[in-house]
Amino acid sequence: MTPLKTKWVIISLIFASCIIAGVAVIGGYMWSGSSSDAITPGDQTLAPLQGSTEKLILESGFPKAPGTVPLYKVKSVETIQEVNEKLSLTVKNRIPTADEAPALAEKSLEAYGGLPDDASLINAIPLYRVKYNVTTGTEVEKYPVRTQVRYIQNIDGYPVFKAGISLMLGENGEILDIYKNWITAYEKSGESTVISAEDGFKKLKEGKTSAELQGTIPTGSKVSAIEFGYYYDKKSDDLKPVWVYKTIMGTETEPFNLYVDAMA
Amino acid sequence: MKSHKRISVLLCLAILCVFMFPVSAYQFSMTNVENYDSQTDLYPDGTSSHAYVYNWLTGQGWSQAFYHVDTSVDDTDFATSGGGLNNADFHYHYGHGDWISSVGYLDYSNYPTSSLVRTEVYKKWGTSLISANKWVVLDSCWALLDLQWGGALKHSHGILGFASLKYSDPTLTNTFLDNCITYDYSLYTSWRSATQSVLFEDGTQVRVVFDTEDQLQNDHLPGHGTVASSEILDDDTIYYDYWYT
Repeated sequence: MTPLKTKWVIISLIFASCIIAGVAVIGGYMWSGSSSDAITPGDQTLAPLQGSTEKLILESGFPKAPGTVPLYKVKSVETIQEVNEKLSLTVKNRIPTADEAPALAEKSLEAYGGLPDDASLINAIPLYRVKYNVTTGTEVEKYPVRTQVRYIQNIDGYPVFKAGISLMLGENGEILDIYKNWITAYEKSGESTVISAEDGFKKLKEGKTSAELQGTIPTGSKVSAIEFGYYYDKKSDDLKPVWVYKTIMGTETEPFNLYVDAMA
Repeated sequence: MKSHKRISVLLCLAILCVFMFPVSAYQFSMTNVENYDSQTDLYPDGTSSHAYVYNWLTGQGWSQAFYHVDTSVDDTDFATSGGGLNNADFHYHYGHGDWISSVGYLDYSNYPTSSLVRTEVYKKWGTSLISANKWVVLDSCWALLDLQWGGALKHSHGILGFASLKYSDPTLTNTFLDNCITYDYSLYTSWRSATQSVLFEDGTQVRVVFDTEDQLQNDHLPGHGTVASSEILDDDTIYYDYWYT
């Protein structure tokens, strides 16, 4: 082979390698299946809080503990997750007000079997898109996007945290997104004595939340309400008794749920 | 004359390679602070989150630019002096966050001695139109309650994060990337759907911050839908949406 031919062979090989590598890489991008190699995280019971809890101001009285409550194992759950990606993202002419939204949500839920009898309304919040100037630190414009309506399930008259319905409503109350986790069957697995709300608060101040937080509770955060209920632990299918300290933090107007294990 | 021909051919090949290889250029990076000197440890949640990021994105042909953990995470990862996350199209940060006097912090492992504040990264993400970085996830509490984090977006497109406390749960990472890749949802919808599903009714405020409204509505992971163009002239404005879990 002449030196000239050898050079051309080398160049051709480089070119062919590029094509093969390119095709392989593009092939990798075209693949859109699930990642079967994803490592499943270790089992946790309730998620841990990521922060300290020593800066809480109590603005609510302590409710009476229920004494002894049944423990339950969840047997079946109705799960619905639907997203209207296009409509959810667009700016609307108007969105339902917080007062209008619950009635509209109930009507729209008829297409999903209606609002269950054991549901109670958490709240309705109109949500906006905001154009914000980072130099002046001011809102330039605000556009209506959707109104969120949230319901929680009740069992034995107690709220079940992590079981409920979260809806996003459009201009006329039509459902844009729906997330429903509704316990449809459960059976008694035992019973437990419940600690007092005062003892639960002591645990909270010691940082003994049922789940790990990824941040610090700001100084001056206010516990606006305290509720006893069950926490639906999807990993174990248990309904776990909890005290929930609903806390307003920072510039927030909506409370965050701080869960504390209520079993004695 | 012959050598000119050879140079021309080699140049053509080089140009061809440039066009063949951009797809393979997609890179991700991750910072994971899960062990703290004076805060609650989050191990192994950050490690699990990284496993999800790594497996989903390498499965799509992406490569990992860097993965720094605990004490090896510092300002340079966040492009305070160039490089860092600017070398990757997608960056995922996991760890504690804090909010003091209206300033959102990302906590390093020896916090409060060291942390990252938004002033350190002002206009530093996507420093040029050819910078790789497009998106940053801040999987920690509080940072995006401080909207000045949006000032980090020079030519980068968006930040996905939280404006309140949140509970740690690595299945959020998995669900988010599953939404992006399996369902071809936009990054915004993927984040909204994942947070609604995993942090269901905790009362977490979730936010997305994008440089332009077009990016907010249309950005997808490459190969899974459109990616809006980068803002050519930085107008100092951002768009943000929020919702509650």
